[in-house]
Amino acid sequence: MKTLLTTMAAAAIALVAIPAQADTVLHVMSWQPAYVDSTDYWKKTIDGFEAENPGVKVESNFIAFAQYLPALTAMIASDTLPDVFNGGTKTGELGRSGHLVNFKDVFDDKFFAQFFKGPLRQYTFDGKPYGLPDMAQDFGIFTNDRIMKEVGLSAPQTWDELIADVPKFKAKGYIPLAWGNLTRNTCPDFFLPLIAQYGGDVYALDDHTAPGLSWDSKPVIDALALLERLQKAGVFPDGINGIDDSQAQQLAYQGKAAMLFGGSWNPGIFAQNGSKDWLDNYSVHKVPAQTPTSIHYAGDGAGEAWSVNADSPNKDLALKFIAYIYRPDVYNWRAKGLQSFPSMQSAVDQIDNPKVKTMISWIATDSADHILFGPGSWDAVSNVCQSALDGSITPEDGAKKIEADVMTARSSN
Amino acid sequence: MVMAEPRKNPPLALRSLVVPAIFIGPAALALVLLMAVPIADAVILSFQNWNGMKPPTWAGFGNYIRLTQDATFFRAIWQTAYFTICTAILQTIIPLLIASLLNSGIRGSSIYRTLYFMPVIISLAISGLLWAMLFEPNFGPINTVLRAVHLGAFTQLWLASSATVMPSVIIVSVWQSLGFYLVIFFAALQAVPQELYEAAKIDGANAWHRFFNVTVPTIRPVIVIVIVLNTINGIKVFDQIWVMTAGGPDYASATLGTYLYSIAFGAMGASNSRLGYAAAIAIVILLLSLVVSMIQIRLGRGRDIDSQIEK
Repeated sequence: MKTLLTTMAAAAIALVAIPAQADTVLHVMSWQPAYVDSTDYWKKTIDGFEAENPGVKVESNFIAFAQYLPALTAMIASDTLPDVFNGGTKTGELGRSGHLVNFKDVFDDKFFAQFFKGPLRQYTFDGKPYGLPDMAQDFGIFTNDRIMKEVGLSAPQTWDELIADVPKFKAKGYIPLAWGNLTRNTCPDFFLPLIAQYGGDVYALDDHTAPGLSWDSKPVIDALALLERLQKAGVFPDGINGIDDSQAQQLAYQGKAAMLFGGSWNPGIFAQNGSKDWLDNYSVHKVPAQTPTSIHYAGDGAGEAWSVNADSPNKDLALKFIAYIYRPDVYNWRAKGLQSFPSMQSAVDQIDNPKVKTMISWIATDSADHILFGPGSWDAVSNVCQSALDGSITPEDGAKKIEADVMTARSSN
Repeated sequence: MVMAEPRKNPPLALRSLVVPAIFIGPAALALVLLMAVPIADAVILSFQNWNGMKPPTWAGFGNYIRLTQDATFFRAIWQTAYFTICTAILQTIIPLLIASLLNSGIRGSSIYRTLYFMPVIISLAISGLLWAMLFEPNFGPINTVLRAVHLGAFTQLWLASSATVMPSVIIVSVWQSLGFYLVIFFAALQAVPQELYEAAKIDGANAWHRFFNVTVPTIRPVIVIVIVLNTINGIKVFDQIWVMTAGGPDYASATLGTYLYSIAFGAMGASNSRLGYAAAIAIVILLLSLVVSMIQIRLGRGRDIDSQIEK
């Protein structure tokens, strides 16, 4: 009897120890807070893929943006990249060094034609798309129309008009245009399209291979000079380098700022956090231009783009996942859920928010690069941008410093 | 009949080494694996250029030579020293004075101790975020209160100005750590024999005399420990400053820790990692810490000799 019991116990342990099925786990990593299992449309997306691929489990890993790139850097250095991830500003270097799949080798032209051109171009390096934009983005100025009416002004069409209006805003105690640069991320978003306004080509500057083209060229100096002029005129909040984006948004919500600089993802944030006064009264406009008839350049790109680890043992499955999440029906779930600027043209009708729709309409006429991928470019620009807002560097010296810092970074890689 | 040869025990000296080795071995192994190997790795990396993506290339002393030409690096050294000296002084003197006050029999002493200790239990990152809100120049409570009491001329940009950013982060550091050092000093003061104070009183010593001639000499070892802890924390300061200012504006609050981090991982959206150069900075921090520790050890030895002579 004792032997029988022992045998049965051993058999039971053995049965428990054998896994029901050896699952393949696909590791997916992003900084999009909504891409977690508790979000219904993301869960629907993941469940759908797992149902189509029995034995596959998708593990969604969210890392907050502030920690994302350092974590990614550590993963790159330790050769532990996930299967599918947002490469952010490291996409170009990762792709060029062979760590990412060139999607041109996988998908046909019809697939790429689904995307808006700007966001796709941003993640295409030497003709090779190493990232596929998830949500696109551009920038504008959100005005509190109650305040604008009180001051007797409308959204400025040119920078000169904005500077001329500053005393009227100040007389009523309002900050003309709020944004924050504590984390040094927002200034490049504001500044780089200005280079386009002065005739510069930010893509070419970032690439930094065209003969004779450098960051200390005239369009960059002119853009820095405009930034300096706006700061000195009192357009921005006091201590702009000491406040972050959420604090700048509070200035708008609390009716202390007449306008807020922000991206096409902001209306979604406003809907969650904005005050009633703000939500009832805000509208969106293009950033001011040089002249009433010149192009405004609203920015045009994508912060997040999906890339596939070329060294992953699950590479084929990862590519299958990419094909799946960009299937129009599946992509629509995310576009509908996020209510942000979709990177796929077919998903535009999923957007209900009229402000986001307005911003989407600008992409055809006002696109400009606003994210840098070249070695050292982002750091060099964001540091000088902060100095320009601080008034601690002249436009000429700032442009020279960007060029010098970029060259230093490139020579030490 | 062949007698079995008696079993030879290992020599006493050898035996006396085995037991300590058994105890020390695992910890030593862990230290080698977790400390010595990474340090050696970092030393090697400091002589290379590496962005983590392509294979590293040998740079010789290039990174160290570049450090000597890096004005921001020297600025970070100066600011680290500034932060360390200020916090070491303030975070020793202020808690000591408050602990003495609480130890003097003031009513509600335990309530004050609890209140002072509360910031210690808040994480550095959270307190940094809270203070960033307090320091916000446009609608932050500090400037708002100053304006409300007609002291608008004293409003500052706080974290946004290169002139006020370091004092601001030092204020936060003092606020955060006050309770911790206060508790250490309070415990030490409780151990000071009351007879010493009574004897001093009989000799006509007033409160200040009793503080400087009785309290301070008696708890001197604790004061030294607090200074050492503050010095170590000052040299390695990172999280609080990173959360509040990310080393800005324009590197005005960059310390060696934040500068190393920004070189290794870049600014928030950075595209460029300079891991070899960052390793060179880390080695310099290591050497600086070593020098400061050696000085402190030397001073500690001097104290021991003094106390021996006094005996």
